[in-house]
Amino acid sequence: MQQHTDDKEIIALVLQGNHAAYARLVDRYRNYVFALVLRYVPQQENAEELAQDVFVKAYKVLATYRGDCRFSTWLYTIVHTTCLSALRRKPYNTTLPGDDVLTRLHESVYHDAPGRQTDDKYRKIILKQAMNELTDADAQVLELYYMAMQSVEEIARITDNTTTNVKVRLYRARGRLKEIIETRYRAELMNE
Amino acid sequence: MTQKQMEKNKQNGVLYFDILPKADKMNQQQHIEDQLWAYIDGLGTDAERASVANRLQTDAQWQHIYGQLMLFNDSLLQNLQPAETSSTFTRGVMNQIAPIPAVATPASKKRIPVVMKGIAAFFVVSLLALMLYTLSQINWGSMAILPASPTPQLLTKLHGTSILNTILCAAGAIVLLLYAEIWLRHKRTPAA
Repeated sequence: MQQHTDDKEIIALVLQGNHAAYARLVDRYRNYVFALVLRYVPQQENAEELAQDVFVKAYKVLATYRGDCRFSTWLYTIVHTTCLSALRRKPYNTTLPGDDVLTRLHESVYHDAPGRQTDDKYRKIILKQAMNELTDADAQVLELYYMAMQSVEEIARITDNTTTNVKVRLYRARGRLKEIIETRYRAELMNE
Repeated sequence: MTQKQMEKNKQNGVLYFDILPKADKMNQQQHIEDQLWAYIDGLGTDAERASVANRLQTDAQWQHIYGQLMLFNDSLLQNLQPAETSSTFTRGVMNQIAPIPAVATPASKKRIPVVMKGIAAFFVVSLLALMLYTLSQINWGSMAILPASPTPQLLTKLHGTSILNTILCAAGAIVLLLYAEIWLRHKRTPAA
């Protein structure tokens, strides 16, 4: 609630002509927007560029923010429309490393240092690969919860859903992800 | 199975879960997992959380499932870390918005509705004046019965007022164009 009030104060300052105040909003939400953009464009560099475009677009239409919802919810709409437009204009490479890359990574880890635990980077790639096998809705709720650090209530607002539905979807998504990992990547991710 | 039988099994150390048919076991496990996830996420009422906490102290099955879920949740928290942008991200955004003119202030937003109201008022007043003038020109005493359609007589009266018609048409066209412009602008900007 406090943050919501602070956001409205910052926005009022920007609308009064205090250009520099916008930097505070950018700092506050940059990682959140970045996490959302990564859903559409997995490559870091392209995603960062798109995330910046989101903030530029948000600045241009800041006067249309009425304050009746959280700023993060309003931003989410801009992320969605900006990313879809960008993908239509210039289809980014949205595929993750294929199995051959994973195999090479896996081999390099075990050849270079036998007995060593799986590399963190490799573990992250496995998890991303497993999440890629989920439905869009399941992946979205996990990313909003773990990567964008949104609460269940905020996710419900962003996805225009009820809190109960979001809770159930979160539980089911975790269950399905767990099943995928246990089927394919059990030893690496469960530290067994 | 009756309540009495369940109690007996419990006393004999037989876990209810173990003697259920497979489909029921799956539902039971799902039910336990849902409650445990709510507990791990800090959701649910105080009574629900207290009930789960109590189960975790007394029920081995619940402890086992809880351990599995906690391990998995920790793995997700570790490997699905919040996405982070580069240190130059905010500066990049501010550089891009620097040449953009100041966003619309609340005062400039009010200008359009005032203009719209002015033109709409002119149009309404003109229309009322025309109607009053037309009605005043009709000789009510000379008509024994109402004509089948008053329109031809009105049109005859209006024949000499071509200048007034032109002005009214022009005003109507301006009003329509302005409304269209506002509607299109509203459609282009994201909903707040």
